[in-house]
Amino acid sequence: MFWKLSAPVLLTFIAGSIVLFNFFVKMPLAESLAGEMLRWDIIVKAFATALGAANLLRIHSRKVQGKDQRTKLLSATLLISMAIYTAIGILKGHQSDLYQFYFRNLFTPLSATMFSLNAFFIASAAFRAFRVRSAQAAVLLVTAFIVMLGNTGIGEAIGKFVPSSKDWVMAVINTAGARGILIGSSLGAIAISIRVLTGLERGHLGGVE
Amino acid sequence: MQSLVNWIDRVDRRVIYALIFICLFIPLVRPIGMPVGISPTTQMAFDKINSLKPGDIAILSPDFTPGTEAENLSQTVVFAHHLMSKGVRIIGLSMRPEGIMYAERVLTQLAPEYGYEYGKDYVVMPWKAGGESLVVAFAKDFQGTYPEDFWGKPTKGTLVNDVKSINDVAVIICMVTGDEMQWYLRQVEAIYKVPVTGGGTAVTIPGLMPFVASGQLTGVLSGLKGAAEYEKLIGKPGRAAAGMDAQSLSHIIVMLFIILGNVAHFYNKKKNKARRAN
Repeated sequence: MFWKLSAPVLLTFIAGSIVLFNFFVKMPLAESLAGEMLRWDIIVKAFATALGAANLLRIHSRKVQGKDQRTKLLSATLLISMAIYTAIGILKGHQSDLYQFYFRNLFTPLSATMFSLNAFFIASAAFRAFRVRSAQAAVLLVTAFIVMLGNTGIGEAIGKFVPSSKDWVMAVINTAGARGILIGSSLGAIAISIRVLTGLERGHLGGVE
Repeated sequence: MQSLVNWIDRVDRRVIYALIFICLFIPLVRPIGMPVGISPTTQMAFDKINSLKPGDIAILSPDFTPGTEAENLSQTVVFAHHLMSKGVRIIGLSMRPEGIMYAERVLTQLAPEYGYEYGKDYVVMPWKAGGESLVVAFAKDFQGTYPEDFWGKPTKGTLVNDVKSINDVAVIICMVTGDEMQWYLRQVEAIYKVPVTGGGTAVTIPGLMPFVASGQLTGVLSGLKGAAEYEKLIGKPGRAAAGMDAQSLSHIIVMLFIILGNVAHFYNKKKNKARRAN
């Protein structure tokens, strides 16, 4: 129980307190300890990246052995691509022409294509879903129109008031709303951090209450 | 009339796709040249970069993936042009492994145009894991965090020698599609008061506007339009200006379909109401 529950809570408390203390109080010892904690954090995150890759490998290796032909093909493509890209990176280095070729001519166009499809889906979805069914929907629609028109050259051609209205919506209405969300989420983050530091929140330890 | 309304109401999505495709394709082949004004946030970012002196050091951080290349790469290119035209020394780095490829590509491609020399005028740092912790680490000790560059060569002897503390950096320019801008604002601007500016995809801008209002973010380029505005300011029309016509027309099509959809919606609503009354 100690190694599963108390030890991680104690470690979290010590590490978190050092970094927090260093943020408010400038002391050489706290500075060097916090710096060390940050270096560890970077190393742990590097391992997390490797863990993510290993997990991807595990999940898709299972899918390749499955019965669904379509999933099999897609998972096999992923695994082969992953293996080739990793091999090029390790053997030739990420600065090599081959690695850059793979990135520029395969990864970039594929990724950009996936994102570009959004333009078509959003156009179709906006047409079907953006109906004025209530006063709130009407406000949303008018605001969206102002911002969209303000982001186009046509808005500029109609008159200076269009981009000015868009700038006003973004700087006043949007900022007020976004600031509220930001402050709310920050307060939530502070609260959850205190709970983690004091050991009240233990979900990250595998759901042990 | 009813049949037209019904057609609009149930228009095949492929018709919308086709129209969007045409509106995106034609202006890219034959630009229309729609006017581009300058928004206040773009002007702020431009003024910040314009105030830099030759020899100052700027961090150029393209923190995006290929999915948002159309918006973020255009922003990276205009900032790099402006920095190089001012003789500002540049450190390219990124919080994303894909982003570092863009930093290397943009700086290497533009360097000959301005006579920039690797090591002396610009350097590219390698990608490192860590996210926000990495920002904290290099803000505390840049040289210790980056002992080697993108090519695996020591950064000692390069312009990194002059970054003894993060305060030796005049500005951080971050092109973002996620949370990286907030990392710089939280860990560098708030603590060390190093100015931060940059650009974001149009969808990230609403979340960044509170930081512009508070003065923590010294202007920001909003999507492709922001990049096109910046191109106009530095007098170098490029990929953003070319893409603006396509974006404008596609926005118009989206708005047109929303209007048509609502006309059909209200027509049917009125008709149903009249039918019920009878």
